[in-house]
Amino acid sequence: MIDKKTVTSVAKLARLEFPEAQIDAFTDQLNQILGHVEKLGELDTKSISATSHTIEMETPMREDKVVESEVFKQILDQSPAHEDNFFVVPKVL
Amino acid sequence: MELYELTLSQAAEKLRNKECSSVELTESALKRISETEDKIGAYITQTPELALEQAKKVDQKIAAGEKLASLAGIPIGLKDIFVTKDIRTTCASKILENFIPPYDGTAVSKLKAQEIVLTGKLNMDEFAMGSSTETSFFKQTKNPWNLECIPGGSSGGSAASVAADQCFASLGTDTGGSIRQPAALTGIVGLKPTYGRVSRYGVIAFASSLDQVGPMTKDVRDSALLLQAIAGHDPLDSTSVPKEVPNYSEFLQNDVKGLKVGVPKEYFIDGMDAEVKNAVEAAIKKYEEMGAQIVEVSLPHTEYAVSTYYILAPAEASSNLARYDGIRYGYRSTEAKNLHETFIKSRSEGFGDEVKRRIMLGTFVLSAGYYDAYYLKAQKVRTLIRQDFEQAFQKADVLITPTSPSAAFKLGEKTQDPVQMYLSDIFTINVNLAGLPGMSLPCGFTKSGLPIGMQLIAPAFEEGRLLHAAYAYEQATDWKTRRPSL
Amino acid sequence: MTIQYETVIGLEVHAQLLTKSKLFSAASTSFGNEPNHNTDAVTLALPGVLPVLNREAVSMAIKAGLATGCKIANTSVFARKNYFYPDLPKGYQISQFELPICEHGHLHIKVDGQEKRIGITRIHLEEDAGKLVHDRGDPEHSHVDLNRAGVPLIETVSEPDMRSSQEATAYLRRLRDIFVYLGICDGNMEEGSFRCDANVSIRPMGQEKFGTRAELKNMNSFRNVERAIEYEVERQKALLADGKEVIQETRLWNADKGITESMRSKEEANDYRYFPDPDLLPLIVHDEWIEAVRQEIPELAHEMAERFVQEYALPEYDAEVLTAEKNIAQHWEATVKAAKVEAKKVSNLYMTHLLKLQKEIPETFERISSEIAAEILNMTQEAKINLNMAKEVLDEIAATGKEVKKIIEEKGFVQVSDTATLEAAIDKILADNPDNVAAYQSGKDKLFGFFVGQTMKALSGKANPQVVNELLKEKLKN
Repeated sequence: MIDKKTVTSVAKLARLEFPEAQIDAFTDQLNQILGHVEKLGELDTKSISATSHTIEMETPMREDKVVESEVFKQILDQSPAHEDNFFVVPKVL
Repeated sequence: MELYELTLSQAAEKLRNKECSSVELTESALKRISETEDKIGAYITQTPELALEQAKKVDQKIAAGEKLASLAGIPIGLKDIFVTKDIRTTCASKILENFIPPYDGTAVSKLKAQEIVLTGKLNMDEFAMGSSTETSFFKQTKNPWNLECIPGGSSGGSAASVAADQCFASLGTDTGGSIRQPAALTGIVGLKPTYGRVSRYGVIAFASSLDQVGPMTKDVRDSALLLQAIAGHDPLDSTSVPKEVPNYSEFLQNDVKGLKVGVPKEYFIDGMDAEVKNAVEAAIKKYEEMGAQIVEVSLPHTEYAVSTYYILAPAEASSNLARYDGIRYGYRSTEAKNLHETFIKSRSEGFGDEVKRRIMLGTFVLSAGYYDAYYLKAQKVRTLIRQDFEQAFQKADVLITPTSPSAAFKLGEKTQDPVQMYLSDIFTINVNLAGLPGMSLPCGFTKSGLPIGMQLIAPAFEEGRLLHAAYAYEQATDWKTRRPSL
Repeated sequence: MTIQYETVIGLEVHAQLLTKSKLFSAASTSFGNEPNHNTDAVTLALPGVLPVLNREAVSMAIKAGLATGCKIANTSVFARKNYFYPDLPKGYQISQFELPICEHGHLHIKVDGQEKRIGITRIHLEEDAGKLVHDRGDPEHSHVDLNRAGVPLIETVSEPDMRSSQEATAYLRRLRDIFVYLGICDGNMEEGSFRCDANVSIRPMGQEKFGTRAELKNMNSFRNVERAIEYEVERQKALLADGKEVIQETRLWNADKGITESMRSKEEANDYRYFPDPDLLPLIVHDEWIEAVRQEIPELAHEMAERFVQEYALPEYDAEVLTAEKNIAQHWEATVKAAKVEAKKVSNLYMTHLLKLQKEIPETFERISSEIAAEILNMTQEAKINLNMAKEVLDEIAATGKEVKKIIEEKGFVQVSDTATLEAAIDKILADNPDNVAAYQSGKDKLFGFFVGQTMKALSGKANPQVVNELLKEKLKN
């Protein structure tokens, strides 16, 4: 079970915010989902290895070659704010 | 008969035989869109001018006697999760409402190389998170068979558009059933290839270890054709497998004598929708009549699949969606007074509730102190689920199951109950967790006239086997002749 | 009784690898381009992009591992480190967490003549972040440049084996030398291609348990690393003396004020949620590859210095100075081989003149090739020119790149060794200075220099000093 406080700190980590009322609803829903997920606890997985990928392959590697790209122009143009080829963001504080 | 009623392969043949032009095919599809789109709501972005331009180009090449690719000149739609150069790509989210990509993804490039005609970008659940296309920021897509019902999801627009004859085929993506479930609910054919078979480059990521691209088509032959066009190794995707792509059309055979069709007993449980159960059991009988050998198999960890999925997929998603931060592209809140608020407000205003719910869930299961209990545990159960399939495939060539526990449900019916919504993927999720190819095709209708789909599952990279089993069944039945009346 | 404290230091060093393209994309890593010009769809973290690993970066990491005695992992895994910052476009950094590519290494340092082994916990591959620029004159906005985002880094984490700021900088220099010699990093601390964070704690002498550590950042020179550690140690001692506690935190070195400052606010509640990157598969390094990379490892700085001492009978100090830069060490050795002069003399020319010259004129060692240096040294040996002339010629080449012969001609540098000419000049000087001659002969030995100076002056500095010395000694004997 997770409480409102945990939900609030998880929201902070995820850079999300919710109105007070929604936090309660969210806490309930997350608990419902986690309650369902608890089912996995039934299984003994001590000697089981974890699956990150279903394909058994080595990560491929590319040669160290530069490919020129101009996509930044199109992205800067549609960015929320830009100046002199920089993206512009509000100051930290 | 209208041209838009043709299947992809029929249209391609007519074009090859010069019985019609690409412009005629395109105009027919565009006419159908304008007639039905108000009711269906399949498109986020339509591209009629571009479509006609592409069609004209193909017609000119035909007139000049040039040899064309098999899909050239055929109107096809794309789920709005595919990144398309210079065409708005939203992933059905406010956060990408005005995003114009500067590049094409690999699947799109391959279709462009075939000179397809693009009808537009199709509606979906926001960031593919949903099973009913109800989480889209833009609109609600409706099921062509019953406009009060959902079309399934997340590739609901792709499914509805094909079912309503608005395009000859479409591409969808499938993370937990997002091609197969909407295909089942709209009476079309949907194929999720093996993980690694089709490049994910240029597909907006939901859960990277589960996402796969696949065709959504009017019949099995079309599925083979479209899969042929998009499958293959891509050096831009590290998880793309460098394995030769067979000629899928060669698998379209009627004869299934001796084919071992496995029936996982865990998929036929008490309390499941009787109409769905009956339809799939009838299909199993049909296979038996056709000379296939029916064997019972067991996938004992099936009941853990949904839980496993709802840890792993949100965890990956919480990280994949961190790039939508209001800094470089996409939505930035005008309310933010500083950097911290720019992140928080842009994301909180830009994402819908279901996306936020999954980001929260994923962030939680990865956070300090919970990782082992949730994420690592789920990865281990994933291993058990894979092993289930390995064992089942020692006894069977393909597996048969229902695609979805019920036919299409009513709009709004499950939106307030996430767990119920998540359970609608109960029969498809396993296949993604194991990375296997799975396919849904029509196998009947409910009394109220809604389509029912069955799912075929094959070992990794045996898409050909799926197509074979599906084609034989399709030829032996006439479900595909039924079309929704709009 | 005052408590004696022991300082405990561990270093985390980030070194930018000298690849042409980024760790996971084909964008350029070249330095000094316009903002955001070294980016592509992957660097900008556009929707739908995927990473593909740069083989050369892996090769360089293996090299770093082998040169520091690490075990190279046959299987390592890339993980995502999740946090939000405008210079981190994906919202996560691809790094290595549980399974790094190199582990269990070490290197040796020498402080005050004492050799010491410093353990290396791990070396792992990761991507660099971009830059957030604050000083463009806009008080309300910062500017984001992603040119550096995705540039390959190796992070080398040491064991907490260092006990003083001197040991820490000795370790840092040794590590930097190794990476520069390997050709995998340019080692530039000011420009940030070689960066160091220090974990510093103190504990009562004899206590086994570590004290609470502070992590020091923002030290962009060896000198600053040393100063920051020294300041931090004193700060911690003062805290403990006051009965207060050291808190575990990140502190920034402020070079202007000469103090470390807490940056608690920014670091609040960091939970990086590491998990294996699902877009990448395990990095497999087969033994054949490791062996092939081992073959490519050149002689390292300290190995070369040891060899110079043995092979050329150089003093240890000379060997260390000459091997500080790989290209200079190689230049020096080539000169020694080409010149008919003993090694120590060649070393003297480098240590007293050429190294200083290079500080003023960076092209010095390109314009003065080893062949040219050897030619000039040979000319001094053959007494064709003297050492001062030689230095003047070298200065001119460094400045202009002109040919040796031409400079000597222009300056009229031909050393006069001809005895008749010299004798005539000396005779005249002795005749003009009878008082000094008398004084010298009555025991004022120091005046010998006066006569040498006068003779050189009379011959515009072109006289062969050796011959002048001999002749003067002879003539002043009475």
